[in-house]
Amino acid sequence: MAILEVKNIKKSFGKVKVLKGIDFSLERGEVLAIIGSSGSGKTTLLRCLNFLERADEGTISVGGQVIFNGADAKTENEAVTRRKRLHFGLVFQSFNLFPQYTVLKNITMASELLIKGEAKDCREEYEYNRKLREKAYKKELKATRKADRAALTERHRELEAKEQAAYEAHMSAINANMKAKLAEVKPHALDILAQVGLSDKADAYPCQLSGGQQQRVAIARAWALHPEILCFDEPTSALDPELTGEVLRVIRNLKGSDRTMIVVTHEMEFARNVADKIIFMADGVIEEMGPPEQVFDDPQSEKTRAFLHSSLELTGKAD
Amino acid sequence: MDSIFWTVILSLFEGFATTLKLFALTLIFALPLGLVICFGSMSKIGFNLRLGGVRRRICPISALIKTFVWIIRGTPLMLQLIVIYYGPGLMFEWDLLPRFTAVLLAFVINYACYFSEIYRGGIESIPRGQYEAGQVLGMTKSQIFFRVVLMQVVKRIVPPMSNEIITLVKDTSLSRIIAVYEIIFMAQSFIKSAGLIWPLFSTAIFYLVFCGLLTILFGAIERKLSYYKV
Ligand SMILES: Nc1ncnc2c1ncn2[C@@H]1O[C@H](COP(=O)(O)OP(=O)(O)OP(=O)(O)O)[C@@H](O)[C@H]1O
Ligand SMILES: [Mg+2]
Repeated sequence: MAILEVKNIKKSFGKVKVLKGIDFSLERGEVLAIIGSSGSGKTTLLRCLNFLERADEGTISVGGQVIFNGADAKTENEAVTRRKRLHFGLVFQSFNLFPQYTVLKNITMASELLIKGEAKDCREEYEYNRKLREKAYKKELKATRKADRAALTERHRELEAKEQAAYEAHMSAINANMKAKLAEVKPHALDILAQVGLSDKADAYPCQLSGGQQQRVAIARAWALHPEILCFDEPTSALDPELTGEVLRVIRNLKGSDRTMIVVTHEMEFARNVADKIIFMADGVIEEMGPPEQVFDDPQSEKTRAFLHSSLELTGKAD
Repeated sequence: MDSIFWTVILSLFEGFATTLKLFALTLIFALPLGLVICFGSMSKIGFNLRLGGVRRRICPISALIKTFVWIIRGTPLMLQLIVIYYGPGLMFEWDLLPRFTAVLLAFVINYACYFSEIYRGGIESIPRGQYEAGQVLGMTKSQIFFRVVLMQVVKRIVPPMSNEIITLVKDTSLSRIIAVYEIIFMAQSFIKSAGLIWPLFSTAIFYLVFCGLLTILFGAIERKLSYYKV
């Protein structure tokens, strides 16, 4: 089953239609590269996936479960949205490290907060769902004939008792695990830091690092939460050319068994060598999609051909 | 030394104590009040209105507070002092406030408005990317504010705050206008009573020393925060 399934995502800003119906799916472990000219909506798509923007229409499913549906009401419990957001990670073009914290703290902070907040979130979510059930029950009660109401009330009470028992069991499990989990955070972060080649920078502050090193820390920070799908928005565009290599290498090394990634990039060479699948976006639609050999060597669409031609010219590789 | 010298020095210190009291109390009340005003002026509470086909958001709280801040920042503090001291009496025939209370009130309101603009500038200068980075890491709104944004705001507002606070030291002398016995008032009284002008000149030393100490303090704070850049 596809790990990610995106269906008919549409997004407008005012009257400007930025995404006009995006459909694609990804298997676990696949790397998708999204290319396309400036303004075609690549960033907006990643932002919709990460719930930084709310798509107007469409659905997003992760592991077969619909986590976003544009048709649903806009109000949602904040803790629920945050939980859903964690299916995805996002590495920004401009790194956005937290300047006042060390590299290590940048990586560990979110995990620690999540572990500590788990009990609170669990309680909030339970309360939120309980209120929803209560509302639905009252509505149903009104619509039911008097004679059947007792049975309905009984059923409701049973359900609530079951939900509460499940909640309490869940809570005690969370509390029991908390210490052990917290103790894991730091070694885990150091491990990831080693993977991006920055073991010696754990205690440095972001302002003491080069752009390439900062972006590698940002990747480590996003990766530390183990999102199912890690998104990169032009991770090397803010870097000097001589620093892009180290960042691209790190991303390439992350590619592995179950690491699903979406990379928006202008680095065609990287897209061709690392991606399993290429999407070329133009004017808010997917103009062309396929394996790299097909999209790069045998593009079907005229727009793709024109785009590839001009971008190859830019990097001086046209013959 | 003659005894008039010591009399002068003593009363200068007495006046300076009042100056310091006004300074400290103004800070104690205006710093938090400024934050409240700042949040008020940034509040998005309101409603949408359709005016000639254009949808506009009307935020009454923010508009009201911004107007108030505009009035306070757009008129001289000296005038505000006079209005607060004499105004209620003239308009409603209320009893006059005690002089010191009236001055403190005027200073707190005035400085809270200035501080609120400094806070607002600081908060709005934090790039959106910092909030978004927190969001995609699953942090809550309050975690983002207190753990990500706040320290960056603090770092940004220390220089403008130190400026404003040093201005406050000298602005306290305005309270002389309604005869609060601060240091300038005390020094001036020797011109009439003893024909001495040097006490007035020597008040400068008090201000200089105190502002010097504040400068050193703020320098130390800035150095303490210099381990990161925002
Ligand atoms: N918050 C917003 N409000 C209004 N318009 C927006 C907003 N965000 C994006 N847009 C518009 O949406 C369009 C697509 O923007 P987007 O950033 O997704 O493009 P992109 O493909 O990432 O481009 P680039 O390669 O330059 O990063 C642009 O025309 C942009 O002006
Ligand atoms: Mg973009």
